[in-house]
Amino acid sequence: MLKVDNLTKVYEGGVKALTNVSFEVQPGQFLAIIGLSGSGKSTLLRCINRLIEPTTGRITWDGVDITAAPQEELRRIRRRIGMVFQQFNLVHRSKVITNVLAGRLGYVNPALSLFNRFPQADMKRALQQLDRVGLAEKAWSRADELSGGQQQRVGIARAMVQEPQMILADEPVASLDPVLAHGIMQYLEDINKSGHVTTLCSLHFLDLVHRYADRAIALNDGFLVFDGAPDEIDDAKFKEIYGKEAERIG
Amino acid sequence: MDNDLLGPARHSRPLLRAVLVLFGVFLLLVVYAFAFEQTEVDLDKVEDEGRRQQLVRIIRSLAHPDIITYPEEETYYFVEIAVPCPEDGFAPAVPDTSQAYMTVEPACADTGTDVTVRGFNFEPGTRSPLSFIPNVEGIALKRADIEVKADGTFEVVIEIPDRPDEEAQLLRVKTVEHTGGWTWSNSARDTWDKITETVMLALMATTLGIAVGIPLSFFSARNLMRPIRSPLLSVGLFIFGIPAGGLGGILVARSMLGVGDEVFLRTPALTAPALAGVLLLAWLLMRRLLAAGATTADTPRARASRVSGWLLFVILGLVALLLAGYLLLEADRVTDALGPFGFLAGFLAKIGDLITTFFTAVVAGLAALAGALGGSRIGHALNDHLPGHLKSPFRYLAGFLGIGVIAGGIGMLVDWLYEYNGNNPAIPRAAAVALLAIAGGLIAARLTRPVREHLRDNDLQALASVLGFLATVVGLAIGFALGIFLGTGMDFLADLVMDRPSLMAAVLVGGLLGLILAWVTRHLDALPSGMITYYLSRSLFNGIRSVEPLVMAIVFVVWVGLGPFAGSLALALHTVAALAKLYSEQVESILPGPLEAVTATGATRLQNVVYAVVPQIVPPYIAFTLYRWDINVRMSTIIGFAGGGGIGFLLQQNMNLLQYRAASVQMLAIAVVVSTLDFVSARVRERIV
Repeated sequence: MLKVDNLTKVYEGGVKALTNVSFEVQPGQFLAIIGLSGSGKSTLLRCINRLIEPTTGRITWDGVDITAAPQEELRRIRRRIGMVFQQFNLVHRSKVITNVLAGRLGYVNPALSLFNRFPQADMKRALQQLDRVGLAEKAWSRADELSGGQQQRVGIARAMVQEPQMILADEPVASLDPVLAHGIMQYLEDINKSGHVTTLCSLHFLDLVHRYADRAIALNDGFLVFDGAPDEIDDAKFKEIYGKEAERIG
Repeated sequence: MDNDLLGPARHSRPLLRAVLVLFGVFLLLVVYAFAFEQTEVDLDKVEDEGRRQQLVRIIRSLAHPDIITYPEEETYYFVEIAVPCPEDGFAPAVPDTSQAYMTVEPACADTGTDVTVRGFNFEPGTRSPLSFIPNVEGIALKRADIEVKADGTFEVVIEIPDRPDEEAQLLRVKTVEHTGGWTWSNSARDTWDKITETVMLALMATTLGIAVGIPLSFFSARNLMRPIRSPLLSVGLFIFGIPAGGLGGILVARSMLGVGDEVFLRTPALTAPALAGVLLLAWLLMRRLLAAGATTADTPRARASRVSGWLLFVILGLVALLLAGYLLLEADRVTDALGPFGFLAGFLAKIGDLITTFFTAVVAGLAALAGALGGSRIGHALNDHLPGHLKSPFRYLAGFLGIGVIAGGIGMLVDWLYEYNGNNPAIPRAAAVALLAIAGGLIAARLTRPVREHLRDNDLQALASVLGFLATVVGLAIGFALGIFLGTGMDFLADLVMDRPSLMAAVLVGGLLGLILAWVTRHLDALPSGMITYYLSRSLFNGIRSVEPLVMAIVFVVWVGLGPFAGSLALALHTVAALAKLYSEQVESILPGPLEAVTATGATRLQNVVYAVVPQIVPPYIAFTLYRWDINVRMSTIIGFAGGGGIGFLLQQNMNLLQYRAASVQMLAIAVVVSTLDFVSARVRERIV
């Protein structure tokens, strides 16, 4: 179980991105995080694997305090958390397979990995995951030769070779057109449902939230303003989350 | 709102603006007037006719590079002339009109008068000098240049020089004919030798620059260094690990060299089998380690066995390196057998010499690195796992050791530069006494604090830290004493420490500062060690970069003598600093996304650099490296001026001897090399980007 307790993040310069955010996520749950741009969704997700250091508050996962973990332990926590990004964040000039194998870096011998040597088993895992997202034949292409949707699938494969117990997806479909969006979301859903991988996914479109999420939380200007089932977001709640001028689309 | 404030000021005062502009123009005028004065602009000199002719001569010489020559045959044609006319008249010998011949009209003349010289049957188009040859050995006074017309004749009026003589004298035309195919001129051959030397010099300097510059560039990249924060414990032990490891490495290397010289220099036949054996062992170990690497067990025991395995591998590698050095030294024996390729054997022997000479330095460097990393690891482990009240004494100890070592290093440098030890032993002694007194006082104050104040949790902590500190000092003293009296192998440690009160003083000052640092930062989890490294390496590079390679070349010429070796060292040093700066700025401009993604997988910093940073910086690194090579080729011309070898030496020589045609060849060669490099680098970039 992931437990976020009174999480606050103040950036250098005094910008308050999160204020006393608390919530819990049950194992295997698909949690959607919604809110306007700049409401703190990305900061929240990055605090969970400490890509961003929280200012105060505690995050515990299966009883382990992530916020207090020293560097070595943090690495061992991070390798069990896969992350998917809005901009895919692939290394463009590297091969697809290298990008996927990067997901194993937390497990392999650090010295050997510096010379691009991975155990056979990891190679097999990487090819399996590429096959799963339908890109096995692109394994030896350069990452920047792929289209946006394909790149995001490589991003998912990279997260999956970590054999994660949790996936953090930061607006995974915001840079893709709607048709591709469902494809990507279905991969995440499959990982969540068949692999029982806890999934935290920030999303823009409410219809995606209704379609894929078990539960939703909403942030507005760093405050948690909603926590409940996606169906509970009615017009009043919607205006509370997105502001009075917002109109529902989709 | 801003517009309201700025708007009126900008538009409603045209007069003020005009005055300001006028004032600005006036100021510029003054500045340029001063600049003219300072740079001694002198238009009279530009227009001076004599200077112009010299300029034209130089430019024309430069336009005629002395690249090829022809075998030549010189032919002389003479005609007699009497100066002045003898009283009984003068009749010149009748010329052979079947060949080329000359006549003078009149056949005798007084000094300063004009005579007409005519030539017949010459090769049409020939241009040659016409000289007056007085009856004095080795003198020819050039009077005119003749140009033979299409019918084989020429006619020229010359003035008789002031060379009266009773005997008849001569007028001479010298023609030069090419009698064979062209050959490279001497200056072309010299230029070829020197331009090759220059390119190789630049190559060596650039290679050295890359080898050192690339790793260093990561330390001066803000985006990589900013997130790195380390607890004082690991920083202090990291710094302490450098000299500790280094000294250990020196001890080990010395004993290895002692054994090696004893065995392998005496019986070289043993070297090859020993090397083969060590390599075999290393290979077997490597296979085991690779097999173990596949299983990613994370128990402390698995990790310990892995670390010790790799350590053993590194040691085997060092032994192999040393043995290879001994083996390569033997390459000198086959130099003669290889004939023209003897330089290859010489090269191998030199590499062997390099290995055995620098073996101690290499081992010490590696051991220093290992010591530093090990210290940092231990510091991290202590920091992560010790409870607060036990951590504190170690923090103070680490602060003392770390800053003490830095201060000791600075002290040694100062000592060496200004020779305090030799000149004025009173200074360090006084400093040491004063510092010891202060330190003792502080320690006493700290010791008595629990007595003076009420007992709180913090006091226990304070007591523990003081006890820890004292115990460490005692331990250090015992360690030093042991080390000093431990026998011959430790002699150099004694030399290093015992005769240097200033060093001890410096270490104590630093240690004290370290204690203060530990006290000041007692509430901080971690220090911004990354940014400290960033600023240090940046300042170092800026310092080195601000010293012109020309100046460095002079220093290196003093050290290793005239020639390309000095030049390449000077250029290499400058290249390291320049490339590290350029490289690090490329690292700073990479996309942050991939870095973030690889960090999120649980990768270490080094893995992050290899997987997220390096692929992004390969194209600019290659571009900068080639550009730097190009710069180094051009710079090596200047380096040559200072005696650093290369083509500059030749160029400067020819310029000083006013041999502009030869200098022109060298300038041409530089231009060709630079353009070739530019072309090649463009092609390589195209391939790789």
